[in-house]
Amino acid sequence: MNIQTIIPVLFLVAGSFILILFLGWRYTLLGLALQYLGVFWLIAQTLPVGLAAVKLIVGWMAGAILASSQVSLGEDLPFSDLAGRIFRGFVMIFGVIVAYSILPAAEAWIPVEGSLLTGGLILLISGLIQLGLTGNPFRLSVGLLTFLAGFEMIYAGLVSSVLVVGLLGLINLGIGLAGSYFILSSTLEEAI
Amino acid sequence: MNAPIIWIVVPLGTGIILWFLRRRRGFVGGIAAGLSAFLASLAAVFPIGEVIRLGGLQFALSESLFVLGRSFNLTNNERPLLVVIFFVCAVWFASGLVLKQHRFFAPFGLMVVSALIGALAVQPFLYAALLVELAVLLSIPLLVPPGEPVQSGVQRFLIFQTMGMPFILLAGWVFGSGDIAQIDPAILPRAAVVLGLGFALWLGVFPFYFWVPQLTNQTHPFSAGFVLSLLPVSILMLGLDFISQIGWLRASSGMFLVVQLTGVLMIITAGGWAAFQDDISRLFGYAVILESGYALLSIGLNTLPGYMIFAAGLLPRLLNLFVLATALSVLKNHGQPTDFDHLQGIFQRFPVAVIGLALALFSISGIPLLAGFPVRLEALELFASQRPVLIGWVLLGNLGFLIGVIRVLLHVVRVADQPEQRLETWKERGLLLGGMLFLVLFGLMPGVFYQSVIFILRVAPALLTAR
Repeated sequence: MNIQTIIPVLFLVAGSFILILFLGWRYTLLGLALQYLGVFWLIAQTLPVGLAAVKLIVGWMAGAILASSQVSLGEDLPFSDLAGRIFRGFVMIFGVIVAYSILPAAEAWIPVEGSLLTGGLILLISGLIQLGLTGNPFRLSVGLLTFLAGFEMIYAGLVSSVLVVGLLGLINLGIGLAGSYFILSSTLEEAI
Repeated sequence: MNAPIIWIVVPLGTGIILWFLRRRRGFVGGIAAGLSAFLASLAAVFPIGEVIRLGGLQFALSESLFVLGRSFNLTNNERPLLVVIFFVCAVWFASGLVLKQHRFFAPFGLMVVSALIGALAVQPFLYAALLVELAVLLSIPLLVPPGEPVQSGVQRFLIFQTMGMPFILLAGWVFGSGDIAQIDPAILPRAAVVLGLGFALWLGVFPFYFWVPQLTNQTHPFSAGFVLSLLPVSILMLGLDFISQIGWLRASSGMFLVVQLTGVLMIITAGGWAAFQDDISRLFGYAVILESGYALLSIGLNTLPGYMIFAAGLLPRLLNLFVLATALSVLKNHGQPTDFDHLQGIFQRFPVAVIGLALALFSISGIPLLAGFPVRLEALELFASQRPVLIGWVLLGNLGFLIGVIRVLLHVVRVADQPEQRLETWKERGLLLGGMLFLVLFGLMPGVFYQSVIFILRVAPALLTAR
């Protein structure tokens, strides 16, 4: 690993910790921004910059859609006390340890550059932790985006098709929109 | 003229247009039902890739549509499946008008079908996973009507379906990356495990199926029924297509054993849980799981009769779920709770819906003279000849489900203390009676219906050579 790969991986770790420790929408946007910056930086070393930029822009857009829906709802997100944060922080620390532990086995399975695999595994585990710790539609959608970002990093090292990047971008936006619908569906005009 | 444009782009475009007109529910539902019926008829009548003479007019439907270097192919092999899918859609959309479905049902329903057909048509097949995920995302507004809060069942549906996609893509990358003979032999079994995990998450295989009864319990049964009818069937057909295209998978007896054991496990657990359910809408979810279990059991036989039973079982499966969803929707639309504590007098208020409910559940249990019986009997006979040790477990699971159905029956026949008024409308009764009539006709004359649906196996031509 060199500085070109250490910094984006640190972005991913920092983004994951922010997403897991702080539940407010502002912190979530910051966490997602860092996360997708790291994703872009690492993927740009494998795919053309244009294709990597698609992931950055789509990820930020999905985050913005979710945050704006949460703001429109006008309800506060669940609050977490210090004990909860400590617990989630420890879970994420274990998550990072697990990611590094399974890295050698994953490298034997998937022929992808180490930094992409490391970052991908961290995000996959971070996404799973987020999905496991919440029932809130906003947090859940962010968890799904994180999980998918992790997979996309690994997959970018395997397949460089424009159609795949486009469809994955569409799916990321779709998750953002589905999350937004989850958040706002109860406020929409009645069905009939 | 291009087949993928007709059967993929046209429903997608129409769905988008109908979304803009969503306030005119009757018009939108009518257009969706009419278009589906028209596309089913087109698929039944016009061959693809051949010159068609219509009066003085001559034209040919080409098979492929190229998008960004990839192709969507619909050939004559896919036509029987197109007929089944669009006919089913026409029935659901027309029934949605009677059962007053919400304004997103028809537009998003058409878009979901378009994405699923796209998944079956796309080449290379690894792109199918992305299109199935799009179908899942499009089905969210269908499952959560505007004005209602989202429930955990729908959230889990989205999570499990989304988590399945990466596994399929990874496995697709291994199996679709050229000549299988050049791939490290140690990688192939791992890729098969990854593929299996992906399909397990998609199909709601044990232990990933707890969202299914939650979904049927928390959402409107008609929307849930539509999604749970089309999505698993399309995914199963996709699975057959994968097996058909990958020779290594076809030759792997271990994989078929795992598929078979998974089917057995689904039947046992679904039956076991169903026996203890206190809510009919949750039983609906276990019915879906039981049906998927039998489908996997038939595929796992890896013989031509097994595949034929799988194909023949699709029609009763779709009919059973339709009648069950319709009956539950009638109850739900009239504000009738479906938990056992509130069923007293329900037969007096909703006689036709209760009979429809009971017939559909008995058909799923495999009771004679109903649609499910002939395929269940044939599947069990084939399975018993191949794995006599396990047949007892399958029967036990089936018995568990039957106990659940009998418990429902015991609760719905309780008479109310006061005389009750019939609440069903004549349209609802007509719809249910039509469904029940076919449930009985399928059971009495199975050959007539099954021979027409078996042709959907052409989607996976290599499987037709299985012994």
